[in-house]
Amino acid sequence: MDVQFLTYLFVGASFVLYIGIAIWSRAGSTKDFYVAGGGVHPAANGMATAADWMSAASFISMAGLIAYLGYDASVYLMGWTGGYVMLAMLLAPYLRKFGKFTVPDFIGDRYYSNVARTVAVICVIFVSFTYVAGQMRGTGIVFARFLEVDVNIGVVIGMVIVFFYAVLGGMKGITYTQVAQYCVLITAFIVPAVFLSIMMTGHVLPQTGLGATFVDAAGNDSGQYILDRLDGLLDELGITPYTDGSQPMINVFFITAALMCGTAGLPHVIVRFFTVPRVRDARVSAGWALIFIALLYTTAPAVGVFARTNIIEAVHNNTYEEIPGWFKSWEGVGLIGWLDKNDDGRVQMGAGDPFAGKPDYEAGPLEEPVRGEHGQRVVTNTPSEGDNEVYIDRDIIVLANPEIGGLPAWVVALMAAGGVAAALSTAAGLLLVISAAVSHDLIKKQINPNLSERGELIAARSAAAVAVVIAGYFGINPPGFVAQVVAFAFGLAASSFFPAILLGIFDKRMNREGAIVGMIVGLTFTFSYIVYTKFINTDPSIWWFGISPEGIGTLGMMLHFVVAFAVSRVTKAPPEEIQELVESVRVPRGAGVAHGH
Amino acid sequence: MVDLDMSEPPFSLLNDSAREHLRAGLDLAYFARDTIILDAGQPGEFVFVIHKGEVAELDINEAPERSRIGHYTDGDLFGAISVLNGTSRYRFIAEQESLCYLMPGQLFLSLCDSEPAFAEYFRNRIAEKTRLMSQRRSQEDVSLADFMVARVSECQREPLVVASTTSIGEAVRILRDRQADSLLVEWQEGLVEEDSSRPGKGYGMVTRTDMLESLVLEGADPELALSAVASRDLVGVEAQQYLFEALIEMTRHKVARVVVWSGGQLVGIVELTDVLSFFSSRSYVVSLQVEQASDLDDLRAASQRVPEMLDSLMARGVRMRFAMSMLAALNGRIIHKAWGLSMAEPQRSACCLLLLGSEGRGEQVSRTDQDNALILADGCDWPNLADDATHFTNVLAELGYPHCSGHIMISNPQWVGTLTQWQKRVRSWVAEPGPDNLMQLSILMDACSVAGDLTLGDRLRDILITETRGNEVLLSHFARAVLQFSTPLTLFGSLKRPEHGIDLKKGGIFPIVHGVRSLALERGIRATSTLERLEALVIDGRVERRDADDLGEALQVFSELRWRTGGSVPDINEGGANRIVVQSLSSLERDLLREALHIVREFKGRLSHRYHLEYA
Repeated sequence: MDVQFLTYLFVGASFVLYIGIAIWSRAGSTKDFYVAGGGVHPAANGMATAADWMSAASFISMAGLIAYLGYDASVYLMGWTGGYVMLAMLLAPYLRKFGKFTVPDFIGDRYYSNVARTVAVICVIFVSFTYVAGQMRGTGIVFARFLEVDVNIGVVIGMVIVFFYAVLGGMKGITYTQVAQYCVLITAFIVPAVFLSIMMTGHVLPQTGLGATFVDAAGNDSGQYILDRLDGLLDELGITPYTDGSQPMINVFFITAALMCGTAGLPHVIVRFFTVPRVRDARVSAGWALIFIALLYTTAPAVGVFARTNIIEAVHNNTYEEIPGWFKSWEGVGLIGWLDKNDDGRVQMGAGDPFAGKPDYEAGPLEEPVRGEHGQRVVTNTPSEGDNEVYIDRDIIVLANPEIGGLPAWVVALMAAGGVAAALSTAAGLLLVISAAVSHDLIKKQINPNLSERGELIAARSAAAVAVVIAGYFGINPPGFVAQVVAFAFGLAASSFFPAILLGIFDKRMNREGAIVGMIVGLTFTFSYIVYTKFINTDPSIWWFGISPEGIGTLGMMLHFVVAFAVSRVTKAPPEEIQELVESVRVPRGAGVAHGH
Repeated sequence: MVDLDMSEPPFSLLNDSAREHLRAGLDLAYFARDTIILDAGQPGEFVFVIHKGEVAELDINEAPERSRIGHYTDGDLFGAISVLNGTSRYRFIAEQESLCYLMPGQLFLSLCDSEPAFAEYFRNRIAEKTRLMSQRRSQEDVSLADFMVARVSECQREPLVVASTTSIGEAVRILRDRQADSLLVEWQEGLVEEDSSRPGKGYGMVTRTDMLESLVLEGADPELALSAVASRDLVGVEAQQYLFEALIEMTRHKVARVVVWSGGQLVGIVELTDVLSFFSSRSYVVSLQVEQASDLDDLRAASQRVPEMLDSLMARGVRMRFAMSMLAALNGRIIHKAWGLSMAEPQRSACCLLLLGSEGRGEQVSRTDQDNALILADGCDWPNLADDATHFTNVLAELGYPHCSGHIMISNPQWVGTLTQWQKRVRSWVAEPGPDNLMQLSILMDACSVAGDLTLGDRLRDILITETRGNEVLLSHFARAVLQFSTPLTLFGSLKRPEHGIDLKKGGIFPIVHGVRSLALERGIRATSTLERLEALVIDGRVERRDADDLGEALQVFSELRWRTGGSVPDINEGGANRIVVQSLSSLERDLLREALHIVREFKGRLSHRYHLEYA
């Protein structure tokens, strides 16, 4: 059976599974009254959280970033996992005690202000949009490759599927569907990693394979560590060794902090903490979720290394004809481009970009691709300095990994199912947050309080539809790679909600004025910096203190803290009852204690 | 050769020769899709029986979205009412290609004349349809609708017949002894009008007023025979006529009594006061008995009459919600009385007895387990509390309220406490909204104070409201149970039809009751019955009037269907009593049920959005 057929089979079967679970979990007419929500094991809830959490960015893009950025990419690993811990320990249990379901609702009530609520709604919508856009790009890549269409068409297909799945299907957020999605995505991620680890190092666990020595096809141990081997290959090509960081420490620190704090403020993950009845269960679920997330996050570095090694060996200095099929498949999708700068008919890899921007293929009168003398698609981009002739989109690394490693067809197909699962679960959760924020927090609570419930429902659906379309647009014209797009979302979250939530919980003197000014300053600063450095002047030398746009959220957050603190101390203290509320939330009054006398 | 299935009612009610007669007169007709088979205002010439296809019944005077009032499919019959009435009120249109048997109107009417069972079948269907339709249409006409379908025979009393030779004095004595105020007088030989052919010619009537006037105003001798004072102009009705026709006769002839005939025989008499007190008479008797009870034995006797009273109310077609309020009121009075009779002062008045669950909401169609709780005043000293509480639950069990299998009774210390203790309980439930705690919160939400210091109940309600106000996380968990059971509708919106029937309680009643309870919790509404809560929510602006009406109607449809299938089955928690087999319903009932379930489905969708129930 060919890859194409298997892909349809796997993706189709996984959809049947999700829909089947959704129907099964809804359709219980034999169940007893009042058991809803109570029967979910914390481990299952942990898996569901992990599926919500691990987006297309984690699944598709992170290993790709690691493969290309090497040590520099470790910020993503540290930031995202660290942020999760912070969310579980520092924020979620307190937010829950406030009894508010959404972040804007919390901010609005805590800061007794509709302006604060509106600012928070705007932040939520903004962050979620950015995040959803990242998911769309990821979904688009998956569909493009496996349906053999252009990546832009892939995004459109992904939009339609996500919309039906999340908005009309009524099967968003169902715990067991998410559990299934987690299982599919983790299997899809781990299986090829294990295969490659065995092939390249003889170790079953990719985590230990990363630190092991290289084993050749015949099974002889070369005695050379796999990382040394990759560093050697990169050195030959004149690229910074994999294990060396190229970023200044301050930037590493800032990016990590931005990712951590941004994560902690992500609305669709916070919600999961509210769906478990007991605080204790919520904490246990968080622990499980961390284990399930770690499973993928610890595998990613190995995947990156294996993939990078294999790509260089398969591509560098080979003629176009010699290069394996995957190169041509992804070229067909538009995510690989080769420009034979030295006209030797061989593909050379090297440092830097081969040409400016993403590949721009020459097309015939009927939009058919124009082929060069070797059969490659002709690229019209302006060549850049340097020897590198190949553009390989980082987002394809994980998806192409099984093909690059020459793994069986079913592993390739499994990959597609995993990518779709990762994108769907997160996108669905985010659309839910966006539609609730727009319809309830913004329209119902601010613009038109007389809106009927029916009107609210229509507004919610329309908001989700609009969100999908806008996200789709950014998916087609991404301002960066998936993981970087997502990193912006985190940066914006870090500079807007995170300080507002944290101060709301821990500083009872924090008032309305401080919070509003803080959020506006944090968000505006971060947004402007990102837009300026990414779109207007992309020269890294202008970066303040060498902080990249991905890390600027941290600076925005610091500004937010400072401004909010200063403003709150010179303005009126919050009302007495708010101060009491803040006090009572931090005192453990919840579970068990109330039985005392 | 046409072949109509004669094994189902109404055709199974015909004898063999009538069936042959019918078969010979039948025709078969084909209607293309969207053909109007019978239009509104058109004379009803045929009765139609669908062989294959689907036909919709439309009320063309209604807005398009409300116009569809009936749906008929294979084996269903329509057009009979048009034949009986002369013209059709509604439009019948083929929704699919349909093949129908046509029974000429004359043939149908002749069968009705010759076959009483057959005619009765249609009369019942018309009555049922009138009842269901009018219930569906407007709340205000309810009692009228109930009245419309009651029969004379259900309201008549035994006639007191005396000979026309009886003296006035003797008659007065009889009236006093029998607590009546009118007598029928049977004319002796020679007094009967030979020229009259009306059925009442052998009888006359005399009332208290007649005799009083003749004795006092005319100075008549008490020994005078009744024949001198009795009136000859009797107004009569048939036992099978509707009660309202009797009322019309009374109004037309300006009399307060009519006699009832059946097959030419005198069977009873209907008095105006009987008609007017038709609905409340029996409940009045029972409640009087409850109020007058001086010990538990009296109370038990009164209590035992409640189910019977309820059955008779329902059998007479009284609307479910009135029957439910009646039962709730009586239960409340009985339990109040029982509390007074079995508890001693000062404790009796220093605490407040609560009825919980469906008893608290006043939404029972039959008596169920006792669910109760007790609030003690702070500082209340009650040494034998545990024994007294157990004793009281036993008293209630004797009165016909069995012990609660879930131990939600005052014999369970968990359901007894001072206000402070209750507040702690509510707090701990709110802090950890797990299944058990949510169930307890739901039960307490429906609490209704019946005996003792009722202000304690109000204060508990205050506590419930303050402890839960604005807690969105709690609301989300609380409302989640609404989605617990799937609505028995298919993907395309038609009724599911499993062999074992669909569960009305899980599919319809529970989602409405609990959904409205969740809304009441959100808005801090104090009412406990679902309909009152809906009303309060409309006033509060939380629910649109239209939605509240729809939900109330839907609840009514479910309750009535459930009562019809389950009747007074003591334990409504047994699945069987809540199940209804769709195939056994008439097409009108199926339509009502389907619409009601659509209302539930929409309601669930709105709740799901509002309370973030998408995360299941």
